[in-house]
Amino acid sequence: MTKRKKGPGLLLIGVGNILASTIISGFLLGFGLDYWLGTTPIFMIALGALGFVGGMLKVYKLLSNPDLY
Amino acid sequence: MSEAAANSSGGGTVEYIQHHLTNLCVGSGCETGGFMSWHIDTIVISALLGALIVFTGMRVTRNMATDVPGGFQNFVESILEFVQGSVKDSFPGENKLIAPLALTIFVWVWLMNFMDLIPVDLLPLIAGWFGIHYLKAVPTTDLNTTLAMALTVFILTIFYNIKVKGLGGYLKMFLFHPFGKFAVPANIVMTAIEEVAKPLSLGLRLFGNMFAGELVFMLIALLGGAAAIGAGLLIWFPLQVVLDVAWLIFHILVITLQAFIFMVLTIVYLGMAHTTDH
Repeated sequence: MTKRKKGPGLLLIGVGNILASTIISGFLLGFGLDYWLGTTPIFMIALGALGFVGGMLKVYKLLSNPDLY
Repeated sequence: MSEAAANSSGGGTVEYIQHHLTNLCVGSGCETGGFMSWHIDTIVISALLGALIVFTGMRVTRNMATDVPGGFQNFVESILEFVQGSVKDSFPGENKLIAPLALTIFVWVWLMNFMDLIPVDLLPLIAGWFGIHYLKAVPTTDLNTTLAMALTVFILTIFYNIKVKGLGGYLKMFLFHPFGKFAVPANIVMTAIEEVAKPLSLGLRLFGNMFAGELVFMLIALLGGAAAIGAGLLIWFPLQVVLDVAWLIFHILVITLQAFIFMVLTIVYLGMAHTTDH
């Protein structure tokens, strides 16, 4: 068994932040796409929702198994 | 402090706070929040602090003693060893850039955060004597600083991802990452969101903590500043002193922790870029 690295565990410091920032980044990417394609607000809402799902997923994965990341 | 508060604010608490949260801005986009606006105070103060690090580093190296190191050299060496330890703990690969980068980030962010501990009115007051009406002394309370640093880390992450995994390997991460090979479009979007979230959380965390800390300092300063309305309000002055000292001591912890987190997450993100299995 290799020595466990501390680093990934330290990601847990910002776990709440990760959830918030995935939602924000989803909205931002959606906003960019909408701006480009002229489809406001479809992608913003869709990617915001995806960001929320992704954030939840990521936080769950991080909390249940920090070694993964 | 309270007198300065009253002078620079024109008496109103809202103006006082807004005045302290306005950068010294030059450029065509200042009023509209446009792209072409330069926050001179942020740039100058962060550059000065960077120069201070370089100068101190040069001085320590020049006067280095190999047998019995002096107090300051010991201090610098302990910071170096601390950062080196963090890099060894968290970084899986071999890269000569990481430790110096981590050290620079830690010391520079710490120093920029440290500007928060200087009394909130002191530097704007001194700047006011020279005709500079706006001065935001803490560079990390400017979103431009923290996001620029986070963006630099982000670009480095992409660079090392492509260098270590190859362009194909990096793109493969986008295609098959969270949901496997049957949901490629969703995977691309999700991975893109996750990747963008990394620098965003890095920058916003530091900015949020420092901005909030600065705001609390201002609110505490306003307790004594209320004396500008009537001398009877000086009754709050002892409370201001107690609160200020308490928040100051607590804030030393906060600034160190934030600098540490920024450094460690940089190492972790770059470390993730260096691992081929995901």
